[in-house]
Amino acid sequence: MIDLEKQPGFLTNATDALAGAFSGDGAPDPFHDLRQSARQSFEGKGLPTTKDEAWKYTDLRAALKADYQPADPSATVSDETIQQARIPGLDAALAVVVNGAFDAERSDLSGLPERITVGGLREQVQRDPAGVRDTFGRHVDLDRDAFAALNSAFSLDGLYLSVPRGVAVERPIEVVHIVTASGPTFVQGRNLIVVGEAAQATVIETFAVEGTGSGEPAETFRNDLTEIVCGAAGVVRHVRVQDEGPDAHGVSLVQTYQERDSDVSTLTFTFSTGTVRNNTVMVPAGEGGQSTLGGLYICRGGQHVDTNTLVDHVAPGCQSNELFKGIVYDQGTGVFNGKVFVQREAQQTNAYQQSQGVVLSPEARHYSKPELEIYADDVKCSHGSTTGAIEPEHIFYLRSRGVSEADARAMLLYAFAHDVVEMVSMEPLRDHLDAMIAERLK
Amino acid sequence: MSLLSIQNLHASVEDHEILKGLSLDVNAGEVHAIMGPNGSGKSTLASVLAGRDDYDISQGSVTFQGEDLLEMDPEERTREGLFLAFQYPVELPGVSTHQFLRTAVNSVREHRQLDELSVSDFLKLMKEKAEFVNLDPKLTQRSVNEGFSGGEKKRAEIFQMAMLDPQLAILDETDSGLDIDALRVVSEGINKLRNEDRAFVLITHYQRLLNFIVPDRVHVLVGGRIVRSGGPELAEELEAKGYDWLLDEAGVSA
Ligand SMILES: Nc1ncnc2c1ncn2[C@@H]1O[C@H](COP(=O)(O)OP(=O)(O)OP(=O)(O)O)[C@@H](O)[C@H]1O
Ligand SMILES: [Mg+2]
Repeated sequence: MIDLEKQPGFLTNATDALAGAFSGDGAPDPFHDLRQSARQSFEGKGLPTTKDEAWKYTDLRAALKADYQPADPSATVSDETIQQARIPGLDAALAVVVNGAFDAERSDLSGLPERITVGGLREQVQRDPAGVRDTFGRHVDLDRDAFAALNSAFSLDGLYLSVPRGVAVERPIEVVHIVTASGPTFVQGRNLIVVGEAAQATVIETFAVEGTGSGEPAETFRNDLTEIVCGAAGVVRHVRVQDEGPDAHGVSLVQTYQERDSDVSTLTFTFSTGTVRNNTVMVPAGEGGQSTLGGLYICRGGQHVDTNTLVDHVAPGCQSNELFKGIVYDQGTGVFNGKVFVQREAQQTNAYQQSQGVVLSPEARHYSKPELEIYADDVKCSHGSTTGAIEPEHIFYLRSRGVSEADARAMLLYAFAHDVVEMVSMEPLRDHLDAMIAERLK
Repeated sequence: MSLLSIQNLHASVEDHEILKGLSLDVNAGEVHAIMGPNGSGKSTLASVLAGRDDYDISQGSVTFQGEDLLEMDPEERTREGLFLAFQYPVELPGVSTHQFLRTAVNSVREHRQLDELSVSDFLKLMKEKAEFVNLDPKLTQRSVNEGFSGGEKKRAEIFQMAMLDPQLAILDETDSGLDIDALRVVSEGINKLRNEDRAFVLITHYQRLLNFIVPDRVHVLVGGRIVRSGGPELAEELEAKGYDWLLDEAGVSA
């Protein structure tokens, strides 16, 4: 732990500005106490350092060094930037979040069932504070996670989606997060997705950074939190695509909480970024729940992607299925730390975890640490973790059929990566991901 | 000029010499069989010819169509017309057979200054060659060799050979693992591909293959060297007598 003195200056400077920005509009603030305790939790913990076991391989200092300023929530972006950040060919409703603020004008939330509530989280808090308060932050363990505390202390905008009982939202909702700034920018986003009993929803998040005017994209640091609360027999599909470029750093948490017989999947695809830490915590809390989590990261240059997951089996008869894959080139670093916790009550748990890393240069690194903690006796758990090079045998086989070495490598890596794409159900998104993978492997 | 000419080839792995002065000439239009006990170096020879880089070639030369084969990359050898059907083909989960073979066929065609095949022509070629070796077309819809039975893998190798249309095909124990019907189909396929320009090297332990494909020459490889060569009758002799008498003659122990 570090104390606030040693914290990057911008956070200490920014705290007051952030606090003002999010509570100075005279709206009722039912979150005052929550924010207060989050702030205390954050200030008490400070930012993690590599002495922290969970942060052993990820040193944020370089990523936090810039003179970050809080993002200007009143900024606007060009249509072109929004279009570029979208998934081509995907028929989806659009939610645009600029510099952490939901932009109602640029969003197009048509074509969705009338009975759902969808829009900006901040707006929703003003409209129905008690309703949001019911779920907001309920399942996030602020003591475990300083960044979640930081997010909870100050941030309050992003997507709000509430789907009532029995409503299936067929049309995916695409959330495009854009940062536009001329200098180093700190931005926080918060999404709250509440899916009722036997209801269904699909949310896809993409991220982009735009430079102002003709300027280069600014260096950014994001701290995002997405909460997904899924009622009994509900279904949620959540996919994130990170590809903002090498100067985009950040920490994120996807927190899911599931009731009986629900089925939630959250997947993260990380292409070009800077130093990124992606946390996922899934809690299948009712009998018969199904939790799927997975991701793919392809690191080049000095890119650093750290995936940290926790599946907390607290209820009996649930199934979790986890698959993460990483490809690291150059001086890139991939980290996977996945914990599966099976509590005493969680009998008949079926937990599967797999992490695979391919290391393609002598300076590239991949660290993989699966952790299983099982306190129930009647469970089926398996985990596997491999890190290595591409099999020379496999390359030789392809070359012996006339395929060039470069093509052979690309084919094998594509096959390796495509496995995770198979977990995505939407065809246009799969095609887009496959195309991005092929591009990134070139 | 021979199609393939191997002179005094020495190959070793980590200071362990496996091929110890092997010489062999194969002319266009010929079928040669190479037999020999387990571990005598048959697959090593095939691997060295195909360009696997695990081996240290300390002496000798190999020319293919008059060119120095050992100087070429594995893919270049194939594009020049060499094909190796592996004894143990690898499985490549997630690599689509279609995509792989299209890249392979077009790489070879480009090298031979032929036009790239269109998707429909490629599919036509696949269909034709799959029928040729009686390969279940469903297998070509799957990942390369993934979950194939032993016999299916061997058949798939011959299918790929037919797709790539080589000058010289080396088949490393393609007959092992084939049931008698499959052996007949595969042999008939090979016989149909026999012509005055094309040559085959069949590595095998069994006379039964050579009943279907009658070789021009039979060689016995023992201890990294060819210790005896003869006509088809040599294979029959080996079938009857085993290798022991040759081991003694060659001064090596099995
Ligand atoms: N990469 C390698 N590393 C170490 N030893 C090897 C390697 N490749 C081959 N050998 C050894 O070289 C010898 C010849 O092997 P090879 O596979 O060529 O035999 P073979 O004649 O094909 O046998 P079989 O009839 O069983 O297929 C064996 O003793 C084998 O263990
Ligand atoms: Mg062999």
